[in-house]
Amino acid sequence: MIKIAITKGRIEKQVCQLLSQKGYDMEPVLHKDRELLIETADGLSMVFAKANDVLTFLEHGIVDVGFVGKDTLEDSDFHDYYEMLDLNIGKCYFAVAAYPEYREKVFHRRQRIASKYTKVAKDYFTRKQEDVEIIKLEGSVELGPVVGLSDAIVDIVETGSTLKANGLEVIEKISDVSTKMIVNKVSLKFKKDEIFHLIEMLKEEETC
Amino acid sequence: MEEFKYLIPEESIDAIMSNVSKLREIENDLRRIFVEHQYLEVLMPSFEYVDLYNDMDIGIDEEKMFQYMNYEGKRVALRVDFTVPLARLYCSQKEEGEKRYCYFGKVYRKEKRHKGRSSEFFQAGVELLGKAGVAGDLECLQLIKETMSCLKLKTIRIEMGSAKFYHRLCEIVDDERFVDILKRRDLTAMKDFVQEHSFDTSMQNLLMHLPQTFGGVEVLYQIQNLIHDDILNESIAELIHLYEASCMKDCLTFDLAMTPMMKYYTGIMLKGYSPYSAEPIMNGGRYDQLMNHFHRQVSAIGFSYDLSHILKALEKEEEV
Repeated sequence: MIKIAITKGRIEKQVCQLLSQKGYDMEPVLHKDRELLIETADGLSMVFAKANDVLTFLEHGIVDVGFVGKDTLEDSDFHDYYEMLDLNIGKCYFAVAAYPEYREKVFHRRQRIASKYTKVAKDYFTRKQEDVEIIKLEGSVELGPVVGLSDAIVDIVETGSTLKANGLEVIEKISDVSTKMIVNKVSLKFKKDEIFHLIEMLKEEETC
Repeated sequence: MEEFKYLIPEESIDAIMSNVSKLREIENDLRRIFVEHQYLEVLMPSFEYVDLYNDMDIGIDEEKMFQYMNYEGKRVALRVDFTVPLARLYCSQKEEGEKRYCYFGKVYRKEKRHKGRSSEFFQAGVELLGKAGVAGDLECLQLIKETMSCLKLKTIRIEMGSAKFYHRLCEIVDDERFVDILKRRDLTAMKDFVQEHSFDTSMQNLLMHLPQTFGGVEVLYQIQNLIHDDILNESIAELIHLYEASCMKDCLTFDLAMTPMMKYYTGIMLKGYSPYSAEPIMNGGRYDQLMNHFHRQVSAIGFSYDLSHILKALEKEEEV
């Protein structure tokens, strides 16, 4: 029996669809109401949780496998897991975005950057040897420049339509984001065959 | 301030009450066996210079250390590891030849708040200094075999890796991105990585297989066919030799993708696992170059049990 934690929402839908395409019996999941823990006929035990909590459960060995976005992994301070497979779904990217004038603007002060991903933002500007002030926003980060709180934002961009609707544009792409399959290090040792079976099933998708 | 009287700082672990007698029993059993094998118990100081750990480049971040500035204006940290201070002890005592130390005590590593992590780890371990090569490795394995049953866990798996294999592989691959891919066992990134480089076919196969090259001794025999490098082959032959000579074949497994937890490992690396612990219950390895930092050339190997993890695993194992 493998215990799995899946990020609720978009990733949950995509991963369950993928598993179901691969012949896993996802009926109990598709018909779930508000249950948070579900067992399938194929011996998968699943919990559905918020992205950061998927990592927390994996860290404590509550689950063996987690499905979570690269964005969450990059912004976390916990890295003691195996990041074994890129599922090639939920693709988007991290970017700096701002009003077009930002490109030409010369700052005689510390820039202010709004982001939900403070670590990613900090690391990016550190690499560029730029000292900036990071302000954490929990959602609709685009509001930062719109209300005049920040000069730019660091966020994940999927289609860019929200940016566009608010007059913002991508200044620079930072890195790619997609859904990853992560594995608890001790679990991999005790459940090698089961976990690699799951990997093999999910991997084929890449070639299609 | 009245209410604070009842709280403990978030860095603290909860007082252990229910299983202290069990913990002490394990500790005493271990101590008896260590001492029987001529390991001298050393009570190590709790404070060390941050610079000692930094100079040794052990791979534990400074931010993990509980630090303060002392009267000299130097930074002092609560002990984060036993191996480095014991290596210093050996050198400062101007010891020559074989020396056996054992220790029982806590190490302290800062953790982020509200993650359910612990900052204190109770360790019990040994350092065998001045005994090189297979003879030292075997003594260490023998000691693990004899002490494993003291832990009272029903299922324990001992795993061996090779830092020699790892270092040689990094040298051949010669691309700094490789370490990160191997650490994460990222199959997708490994595939891209191999396609980007023009390694020969056997090397390509080796790299693609590496993330799953762990398990019983058969994985070593399988991977041997893919390897045409003398040093890589030698390091695998060493593991096989140790396996044959170890007399603990039933619980010994291997992992060629193991990366050094401590930067100072040079030869075999050891880990112990329980299915009821999300982290290894034992860590160890050979470190033949650590004492170069003291301008000494001393071969050494050591391992330590993490009694905090073991106690938790025991509790979980009993629940099942």
